[in-house]
Amino acid sequence: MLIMALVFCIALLGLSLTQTHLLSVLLCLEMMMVALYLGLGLMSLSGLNYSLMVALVLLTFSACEASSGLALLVLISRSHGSDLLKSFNLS
Amino acid sequence: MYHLILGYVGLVLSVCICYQKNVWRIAQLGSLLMIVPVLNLLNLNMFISGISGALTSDFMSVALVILSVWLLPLMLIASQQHMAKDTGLYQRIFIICQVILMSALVLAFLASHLLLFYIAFESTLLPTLMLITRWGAQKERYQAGTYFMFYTMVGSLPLLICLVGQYKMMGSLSLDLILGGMYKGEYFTNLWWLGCILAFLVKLPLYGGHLWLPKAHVEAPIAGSMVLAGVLLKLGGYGLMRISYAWGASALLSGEVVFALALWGMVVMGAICLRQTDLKSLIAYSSVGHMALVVGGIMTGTTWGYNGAMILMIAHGLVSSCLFSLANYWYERSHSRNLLGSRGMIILFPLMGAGWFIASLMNLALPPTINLFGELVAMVAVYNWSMFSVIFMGVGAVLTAAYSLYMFGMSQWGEVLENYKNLHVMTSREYLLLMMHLVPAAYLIFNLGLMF
Amino acid sequence: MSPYISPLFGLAMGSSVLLISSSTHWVFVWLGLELGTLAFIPMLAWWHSSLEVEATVKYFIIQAMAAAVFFFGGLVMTSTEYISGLSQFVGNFGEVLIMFSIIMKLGLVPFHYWVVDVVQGLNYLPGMVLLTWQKVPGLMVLVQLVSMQNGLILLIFGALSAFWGGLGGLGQTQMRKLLAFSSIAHLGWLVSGCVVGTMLGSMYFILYVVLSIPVFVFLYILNNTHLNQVRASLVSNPVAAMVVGVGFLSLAGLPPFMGFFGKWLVLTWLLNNFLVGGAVALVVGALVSLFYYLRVSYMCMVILGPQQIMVSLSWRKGFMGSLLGGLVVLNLLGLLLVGGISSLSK
Repeated sequence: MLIMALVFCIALLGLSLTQTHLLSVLLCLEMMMVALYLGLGLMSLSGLNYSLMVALVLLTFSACEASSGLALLVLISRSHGSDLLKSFNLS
Repeated sequence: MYHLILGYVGLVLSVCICYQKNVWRIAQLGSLLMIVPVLNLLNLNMFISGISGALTSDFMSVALVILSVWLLPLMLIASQQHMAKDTGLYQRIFIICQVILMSALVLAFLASHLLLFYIAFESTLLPTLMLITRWGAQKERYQAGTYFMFYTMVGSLPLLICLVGQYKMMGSLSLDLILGGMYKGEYFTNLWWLGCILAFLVKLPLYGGHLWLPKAHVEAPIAGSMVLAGVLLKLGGYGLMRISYAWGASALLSGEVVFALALWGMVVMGAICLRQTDLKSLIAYSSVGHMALVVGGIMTGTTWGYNGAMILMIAHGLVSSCLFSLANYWYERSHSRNLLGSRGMIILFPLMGAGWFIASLMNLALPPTINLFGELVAMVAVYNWSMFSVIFMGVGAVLTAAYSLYMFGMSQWGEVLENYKNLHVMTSREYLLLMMHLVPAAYLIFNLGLMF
Repeated sequence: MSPYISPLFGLAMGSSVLLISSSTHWVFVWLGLELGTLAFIPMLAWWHSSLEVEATVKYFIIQAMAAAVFFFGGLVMTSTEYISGLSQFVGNFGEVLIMFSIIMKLGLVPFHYWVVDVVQGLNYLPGMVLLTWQKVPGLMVLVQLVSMQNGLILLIFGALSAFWGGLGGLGQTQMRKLLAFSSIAHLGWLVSGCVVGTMLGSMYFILYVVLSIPVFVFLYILNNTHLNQVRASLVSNPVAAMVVGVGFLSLAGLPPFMGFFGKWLVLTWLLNNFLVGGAVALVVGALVSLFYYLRVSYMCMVILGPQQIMVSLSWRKGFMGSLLGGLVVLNLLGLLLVGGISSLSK
């Protein structure tokens, strides 16, 4: 459980501090989701029996999120020419 | 008393649907007719002359309601020339704006629940702001409007918090219940009291919170100036009177600070007026000086103080409105408010010179006028509070006389400038307006009981 | 994208709210939040312009991150305290994480920077949905979360948010950024209202929606994004300009309009709970934000350039005229509501 929390926090930090590519932001997001999946699996070991079902729901939704993230990646590289976060307008 | 509000609603509707050529006639006649139902409220034998629903008219509000209802046709008559070049739609919006302003004022004066009073008090802001910023003359009017808005809002939001807190503590804000200081208690601190009256002190305005007033007066069109000087300042006086009558507390430390500022303002405003070159700005500063005595009278918390303040407010409402409309006659012809250039008006417009003469004398409180009576009564009350205040009041009265004569002399006597020699003659509409101001102001000395 | 898909997304957004409001377990709340976000993202990037896509990406990253933090908080909460509902706050670390993720989703003050950026990139109508409908799920969770322990911090965030929403808009000339700052300020009032009474929060939210929708719609009709463009609209479309001006004054909370009603209610409840400091802070924030509301309404209703010619508008006829009347009456209805509610409270 502690490992899962550590992984999650590292991924969160990575997401917050990434300054180069949108793709790596999305990867960090996936890593967070995987950490949560891991946590659910560990919870089923400790006796919370419905957590495996929740894990399926989590997987489904993280897949949806990842696919819409990739779609946005495609959109942004078509409109901005690259997926560099530097080309964003941060005001 | 809801029929007053309904009457104004009807006036708005008839202004909306009537033909363009009749707009001004209908608005002026309709608003003049409103004086008939409002005179019904005069019931001199009773403490409270009428209660209906959330509205109550008592000895404090009747005179001010009649004054404000009386001023609406005068405002409409005065601004007919000013609005002549605007399109029909905007003329209608202008009239509707003024009618809404006036109904909010009547609601504020008649409200018996303090929160209803607060809402009506705040509702007068927006139409006035529109009058100043939409129909003013120069581009500085936006600054003036922002000043007006922010001074008033900064003053009045503490009032809202205090009123709501008061409601929590007492369970009622109805004036019928708290009248007569029934709940005069010990848990009102100075800060609470100051929060309650700050809105009115800014509105009056007291010296220190007065900077918005000359700006607003200079930039506002004639109707805005008239309603500001005539009624809106009195709204502050009325609120101050209402709250200090209900909750006392003029002996608190914050009350004495207010006193000191009022006395100081009386002298300083007189001195400032002597150095003004702008006609409207001079009249505006003179209202600040007059209102200082009103604050003084109310803060004594005595019957004499209230009486004097009320009479002074009515007198000042009529006279300063008259002075503004006189200044506007000159402004509409010469397109200048400069006192140095406006020489020899009495040669150009002799009858208007008579109007200037009477209005200036009333402004400086010459003996047979109600201005003098009000000042005397208020001064006696303030003198009773502290003997040393007579120094400030005396200097203030002398300076008032000085600047009134300065204004009259500068504008009426002397050589007419070359470029002002072919101005329009005065119209009978303008003489009518002059008479409608001066006749009540002169007549009221015969029946002072009407005001209190 | 085929326009026939859009009802599907609308259905998903609606069902997300239903899901959140009817669930007792935090997993389903999370589901609802995710569903709402994912269904809304295609609507944001509808026109595929580069600014819109960029705003969508920012929105997506923030929302996905907040959702992940929410799930993490839920996991922590369940594995340590074995509770699954949100309404019993015991001061667990997971619950604090959930609260912060919701604040991030809503855009309350410590996490408010994304709101301005995203709204600036969007068109008016998606922006309107973002600032009104998309707040419903977050607010529903927040209402469940509010309790004695975290009330104070929510109140502090609310007051800061009201103040910051005023301060940020002072120098703005972009209409959409102004609306975003106004939404941050109103969110501050809203959250403060939620702290002292759930019904109060929802009532303030309804008021905010009713007041801001005419502003958004008529700014969309006027097609103005900059304050200077708005200035010209009094000539081109006086009715819409007046509705926007009155709407902004109403958002400012000036008394004859309905915006004042909500502010009054919130102040009353705060003072009923002896939270004088919160009330004063909110009022200061409202004063600061009054400045830019006032400036916009000057631009809409008052300022006429020297070379602008007034068109003559037919007064009695016209669809737009009746719409104006309806909307102004809607704003003025505040007074009647005030009367009704105050008579109820006696």
